[in-house]
Amino acid sequence: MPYAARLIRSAYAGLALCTIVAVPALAHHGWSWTESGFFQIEGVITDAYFGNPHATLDVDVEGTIWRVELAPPGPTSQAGFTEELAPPGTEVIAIGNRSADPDEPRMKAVRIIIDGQQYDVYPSRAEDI
Amino acid sequence: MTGFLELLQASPLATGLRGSFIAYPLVNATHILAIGALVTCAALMDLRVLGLGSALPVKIVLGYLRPVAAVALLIAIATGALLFSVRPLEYADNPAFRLKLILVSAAIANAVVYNLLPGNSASGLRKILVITSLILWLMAAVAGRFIGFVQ
Repeated sequence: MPYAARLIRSAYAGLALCTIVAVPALAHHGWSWTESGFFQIEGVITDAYFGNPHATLDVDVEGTIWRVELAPPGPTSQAGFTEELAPPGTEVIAIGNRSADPDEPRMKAVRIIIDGQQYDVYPSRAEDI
Repeated sequence: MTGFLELLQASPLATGLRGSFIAYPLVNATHILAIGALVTCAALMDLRVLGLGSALPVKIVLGYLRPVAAVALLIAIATGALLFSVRPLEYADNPAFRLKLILVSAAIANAVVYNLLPGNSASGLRKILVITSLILWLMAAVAGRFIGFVQ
């Protein structure tokens, strides 16, 4: 079966290639991908998502769009942070941990501040701010 | 494609799942259970063809586990589609998700090829397909877990 063998060999080569291309990207689930010290951004919300598996904000900080990861919908709404508070154009401060990759505009927020009002989406972590 | 994904995102099912505190984790759990059953069945069949558990005839092992694997696959696809519908545009762009789809498609194609082999096929060829199956299903499961960790 030389044809079958050749087919299988090219399939393996393709598989290896896919793995090499896909694996090095960085994480955003949990905290393993973030730096340990707190970090803060201030900008304008361009897009907001309130839903599973967790809420996110896109925030324009001097022309760079930051992806701000929040908690799952339950804890997010328990913190009092709801969709009505975050329409596009809203000024926001996000405090949390930024990506360990310095080139990646992404952070996991612990506290969101809008109009001087604090929303601690990860209350136990926000205690340490 | 983007149009279809936007329609999917706006569907009542996706909208309901997006905001639910209970349904989403349940669908998620069902997805994981189905994958567990599928990968376990596939691995047991593969290992049997490779010689493990030789007290049980290959025909009986495959006859018993193949339908379980097929049902588990259908459940995994259905629940996976539901999880995908919550944020389709994000997931469609996710490299781990894309890799997982390639791996799952390859694993299914590999299983179909195995089942189409004529009865008198060389055992060497069968073993290559079965080892490929093991690698593909395990890699698909790992790629799936990485969806939450890459962007």
